[in-house]
Amino acid sequence: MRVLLVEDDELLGDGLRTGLVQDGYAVDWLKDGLSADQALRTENFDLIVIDLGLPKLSGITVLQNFRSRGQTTPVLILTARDSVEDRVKGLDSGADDYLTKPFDLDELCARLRALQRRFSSRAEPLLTHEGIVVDPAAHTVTFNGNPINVSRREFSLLQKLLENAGRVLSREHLTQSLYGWGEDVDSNALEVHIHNLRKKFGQNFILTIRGIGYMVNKSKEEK
Amino acid sequence: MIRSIRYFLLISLLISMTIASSITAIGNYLLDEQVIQPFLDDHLSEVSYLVSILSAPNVGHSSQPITGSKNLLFQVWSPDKKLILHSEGAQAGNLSGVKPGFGDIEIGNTAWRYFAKIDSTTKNKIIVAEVYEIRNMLEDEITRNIVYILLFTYPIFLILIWIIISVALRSITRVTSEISNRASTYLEPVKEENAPIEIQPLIAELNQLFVRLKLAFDRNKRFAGDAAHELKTPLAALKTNAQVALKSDNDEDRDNALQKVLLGVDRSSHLVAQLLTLSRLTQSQELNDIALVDLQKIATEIIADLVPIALEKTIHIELAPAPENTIIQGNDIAIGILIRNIVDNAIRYTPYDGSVVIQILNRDNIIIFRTSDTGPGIPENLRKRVFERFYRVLGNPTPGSGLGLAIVSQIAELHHARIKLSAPSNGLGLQFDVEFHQADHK
Repeated sequence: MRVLLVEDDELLGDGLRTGLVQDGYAVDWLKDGLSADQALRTENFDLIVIDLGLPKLSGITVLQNFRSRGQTTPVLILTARDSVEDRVKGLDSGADDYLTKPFDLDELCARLRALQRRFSSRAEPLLTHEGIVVDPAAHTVTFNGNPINVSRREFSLLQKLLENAGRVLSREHLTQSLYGWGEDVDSNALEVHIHNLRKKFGQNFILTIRGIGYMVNKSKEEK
Repeated sequence: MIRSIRYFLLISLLISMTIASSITAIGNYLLDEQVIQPFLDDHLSEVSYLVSILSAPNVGHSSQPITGSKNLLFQVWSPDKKLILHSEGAQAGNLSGVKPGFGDIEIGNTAWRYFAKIDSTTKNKIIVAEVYEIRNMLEDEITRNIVYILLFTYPIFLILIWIIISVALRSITRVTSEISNRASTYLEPVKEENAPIEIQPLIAELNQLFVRLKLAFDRNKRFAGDAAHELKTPLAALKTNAQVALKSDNDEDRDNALQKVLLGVDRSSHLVAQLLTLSRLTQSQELNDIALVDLQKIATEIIADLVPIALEKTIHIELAPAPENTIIQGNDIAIGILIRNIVDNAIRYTPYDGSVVIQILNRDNIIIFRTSDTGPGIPENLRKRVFERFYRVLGNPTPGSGLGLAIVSQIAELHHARIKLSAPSNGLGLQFDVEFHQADHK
């Protein structure tokens, strides 16, 4: 899961990035509104965490620009202003949720999971598919009732594929959602993760669509 | 000092009314004497006419007295000094000797008013007399009646005055209740139009006070809001980094996060200290503990503290030799804070290997504290705004509370000093001047 974090405060931004990485996200951290606006025009993110008081371009403007382009990625705003007015303004500008500083890191992660869940139109906090059960909150996976060990990246990839079951995801999109900017990525890193997941959950679980990308079929129950 | 307009008006009007009525009563009494006495004299002469008819020769009359009033008597004497006719009780005295016309006479112990005349046909002498007392009684009666009327109208007046005053004071009561019903935070002006012109200046003054209060109130509210807002981000950073440290599964991450917690605490303490300084400075309208302060001496001490920070960034820092007189009048602690903030800012914004030069100049009794740095400078259009609380130039990557220059400006203001920002002659960096008045030394 790739998160764009926009926070101008050095200490808070650093803490948030570390915290989100610990929770399994690939994090890209920008420190002003203008570069966030530019990044959002060209890159894909699964979630956006943005502070409202930003240098160069306010968070509200970034958000409005983003929504005016018809982009639907869930956005959570961080704000130091706790007046109802400010929160209403934030939500009306296209935010899906907000947190008032100082906030709890666990709560932030829980809210991000909830946003993701709602965005992929499921009410059930657990992702299930053909005997695979993924718990995004606890970071655990079971297969036919047995706990399976997966690495952080494998977990993210699995979650991403299951959330988009029935849709083809491009190689590029998947790679972006696993790695932040500046992280060293081997050219075949994605293939390695796919290979590992197939080994753990069965060869036919992930379909390769040559020249396009990968997909997981919709569960039989859902069909 | 009038404590109550209502009672003052009520009592003073009643007193005026009492005085006016008393004058009326006394005047009436005095005037009565002049009006009533001649009137009663007329009456007496008319009675004498009636008596003259009674005593006419063709009227049968005996020497028996005629019953009448105790207060009125008459005697009729023939020219040969015989009593022809008289009223009962008139034997009291022989009044035949009185001269014709009006006169006063004493019979027994009683004063009488008489009228005597000689009848033109019978040549009888007719004397009519009236007890003085009855005349006075009449006068008294009239005066008493007037006083009764006055006493009777008194309460009516009282009620009328009370009502009139209440109506007049109603506008004051309305304004009072409008003000007393306000919440302590409602500082909108009181409506002036409907108030009587006498209290409009009062309301106008009050409204001006409200405006000043509202400004001060808003300023405080904004300051508190800004302060809280500025503290929230460092607090969020503290909490987040502490939670990251707790969750870290390796020592490096944990140490890193804990370092950030320490940094955050330092930053928050700095912010709180700056806030306290500013709030203390803002509250005071005037400087306390004013003394002669040697700018060069304080600058030397403060800059010595800051040199290590400059050296860390390999910044060349220098305090130029001072002119003879660098003494100003001021508070040494405040001046120290001012110098520290200016020089600290210069060091922080100046990049590595730059330079910060501090000079104290004396130009025509103006002592200038000047700091020139090789930092990014401040664009001309922002030079005023940087002194606002919490204002930070956008995109400014250097950490800071946003309060340093607000503090500097406050201290300068308290010292009646002027601040001038400019670009140094070579066009690079910032030249920061504070112009103090030289202390008059005697």
